Amino acid sequence: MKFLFLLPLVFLSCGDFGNKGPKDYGQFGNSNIGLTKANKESLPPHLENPNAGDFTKEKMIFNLGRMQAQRARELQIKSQLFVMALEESCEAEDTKKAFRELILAFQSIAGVPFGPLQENEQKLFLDLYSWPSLNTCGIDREVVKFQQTKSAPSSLVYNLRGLAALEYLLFEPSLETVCNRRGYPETDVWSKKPAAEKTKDRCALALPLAQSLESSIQAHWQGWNPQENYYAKAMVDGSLGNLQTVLNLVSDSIFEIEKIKDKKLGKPLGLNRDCLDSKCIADIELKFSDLSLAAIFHNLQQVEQIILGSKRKEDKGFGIEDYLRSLGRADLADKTILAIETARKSAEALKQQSLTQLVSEADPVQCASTTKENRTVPICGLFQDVRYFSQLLKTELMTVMDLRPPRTIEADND
Amino acid sequence: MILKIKLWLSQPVDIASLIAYRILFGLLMLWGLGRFWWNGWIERSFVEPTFFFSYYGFSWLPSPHSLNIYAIFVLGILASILVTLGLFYRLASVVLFLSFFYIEFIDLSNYLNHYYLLILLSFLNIFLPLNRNLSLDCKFLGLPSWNQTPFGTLFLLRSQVAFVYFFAGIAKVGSDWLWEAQPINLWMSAHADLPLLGPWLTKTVVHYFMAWGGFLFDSTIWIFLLLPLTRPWAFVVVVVFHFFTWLFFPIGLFPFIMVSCATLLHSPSWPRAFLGKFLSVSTIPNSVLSNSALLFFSLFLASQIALPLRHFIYPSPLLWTEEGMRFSWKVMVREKNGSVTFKVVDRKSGRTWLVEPSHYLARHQEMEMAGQADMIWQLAKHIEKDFAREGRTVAIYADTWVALNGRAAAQLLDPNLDLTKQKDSLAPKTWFLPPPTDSPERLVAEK
Repeated sequence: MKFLFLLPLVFLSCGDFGNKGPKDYGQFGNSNIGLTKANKESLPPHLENPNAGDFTKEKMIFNLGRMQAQRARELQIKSQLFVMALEESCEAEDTKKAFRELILAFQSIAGVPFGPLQENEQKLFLDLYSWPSLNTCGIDREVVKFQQTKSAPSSLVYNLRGLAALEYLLFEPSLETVCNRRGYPETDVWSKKPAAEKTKDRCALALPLAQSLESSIQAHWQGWNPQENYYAKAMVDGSLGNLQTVLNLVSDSIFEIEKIKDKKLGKPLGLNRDCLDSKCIADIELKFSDLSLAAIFHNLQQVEQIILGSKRKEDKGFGIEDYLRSLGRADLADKTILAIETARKSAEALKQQSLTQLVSEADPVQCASTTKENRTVPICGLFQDVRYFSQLLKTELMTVMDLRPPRTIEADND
Repeated sequence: MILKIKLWLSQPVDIASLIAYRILFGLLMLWGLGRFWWNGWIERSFVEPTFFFSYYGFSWLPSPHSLNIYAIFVLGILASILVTLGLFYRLASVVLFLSFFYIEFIDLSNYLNHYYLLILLSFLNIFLPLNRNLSLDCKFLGLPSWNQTPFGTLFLLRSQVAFVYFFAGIAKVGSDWLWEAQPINLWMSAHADLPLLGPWLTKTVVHYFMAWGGFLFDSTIWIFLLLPLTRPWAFVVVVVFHFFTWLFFPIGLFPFIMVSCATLLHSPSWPRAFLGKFLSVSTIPNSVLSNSALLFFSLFLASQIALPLRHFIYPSPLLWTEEGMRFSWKVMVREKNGSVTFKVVDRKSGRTWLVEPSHYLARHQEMEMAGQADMIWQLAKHIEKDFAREGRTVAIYADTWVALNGRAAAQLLDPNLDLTKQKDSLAPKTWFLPPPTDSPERLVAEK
């Protein structure tokens, strides 16, 4: 298990930013992701320990950036571990475990994905994770093509690769294809192969996809790495605009909570307009690895950490709550912490369970009548908790922090 | 009396300021329409959205999806250039008015006071002799040049500009603006990190100074611009004031429009120092304002007084219900953010969905809708039709939460009201829950 040698890096990454030199992975076209330019001037002394002394908006933003950089580093290490495990054996439980850790590390940064992930209209984000746009038929066609040509595809559209594609290749249990047999006869031939061969074929494509993913994740880390593009510094040195503009970039990312509410929970539960049937189990995120609720938990945990400015409530770090307090709105800070903590705890209580199973068992009428207070169906209670936080974000938090919705056109207050 | 008024409005004054105004207006419209294209707002505002909110009485306007919206922008841009040059002026003014009117009236969520002002001005321009000097119409098409213009033409535009300032000032009386310095306090606290100015912007006294200063500025600046003695200083104040509004707020063209329009309140001859040698010398033929022209003047000005005051007809608090808010220069008086979820109930099966506006709207549309009852109703009716297409008859209730000027969020509409059973009208609506009665929370200085 040579990838075990990398484990110390995981622990190191929690304390400081390591630096890994650039590596040429270019396989599926990550050469031009256009990250913020390198920013190597020294850090102003008051930012060397941003959580010391009195609160300032600058310290808070730098601290939030630094925390995001740590997540980026952890993600990069997990991706290396996963690729090494995959190179050794595709079907081993250790490989699946490494993937689970990788996808959850990604979910820990995708809950509020500010930074390089959001640049260039989320190009890097989509390189890493294409759910809910994954094209499983397209992936199966690539599996067949790879078997025929034995050469890794030179370029693939975003919804045929990344973490979501890997989850499909490694965890999809039926080994059936959803492709139309007449439209894609090659997949029909492939589907008649024995299960062991089909697993092997999918594993074969998984490796180049994983290597490409590692390359994208490395590029993401380069964006945050203090020795390279140092995005956390760019957030406070004016490269991205004034501090209010950068705060707005962070808040735009907090709006990803809408995705949790609408796509990850609302739609499967049949509460959303996108699901006019009683339930939409097919649309559950990470349904093959059954990590849907764990993913939501990690998303919400990240939102909570952005609010708190630290990984745990007991630690001191400048976050959104400190900003609200500095504005004299301790009441709103407490309300916000309570809202996100409630949602995170609801997700934590359910994170070991299967969302597919919970949705299957939920009574639609009882689910629709579940409220924050009357939690008849716990998973629907989680939906209501997230909805309440979203409402707080759109109303009081937007107002008090003078935030704008993700920008489209000029404002109304002329 | 009427004859006296007609003679007063007919007396000749220098046409120079109107000519300068025409050129500035044409350039501003060119800039305004061009940046829509440049910034990709045409796609975001007219191509990507699948639903458009209509103005009351204007739901007949064709959707931009059924027209070539880019062609309309091209027409508007060409017309702006022609107006600036004074070529085919009358036709160009009509095209400019119609194209801009369509662009702005096709979706209520795009409403901005300064767009409304540009619509009014482009409408008035159709009837005014703004091409009677320094124009290609005079130079090449044989239109007689005028050195002067009837005072009424200038009076009409001056009145329009004065109304904007005056009613914007009046809107601040009795609101959170004067007594709570809100939403100034909210907005300025976010700018605490600005170099030099930042620390001042967190001080309560500065917020009150800005609030009262803004009120006094809006209410009276047009008077000081009209008086020769105070005019130079007043204009400096106008420029400084609008510079700061441009610095602090994402309000696009508004500061530039108002500074340009403020020149109309100067002496009619002010541009002679710059344009004098280009202006041709000829005199206006003697004539007296016609009765029809006087009627037009009167009706237009009366409408511009009545519209900003119509909110007094509505019993509910203006900032909460926003009945009578549009077309009335209620500028900068509220910071309102809201969240709406529609509860859709199948009347037969009882099946319930919680429908998010984002399913139908772009984010900017959603944010605009969240605090405005007529827009919420329009989307509810649209959702009703959407579900009807799926063969479902539904009741729709809105869970609307709104934070106004820093207060805690409160429910705007009665959540038990089936919106599909309601009708929109100009009459006061009974859909609202009472507004919060507490004072807005004030943000304190950041260290």
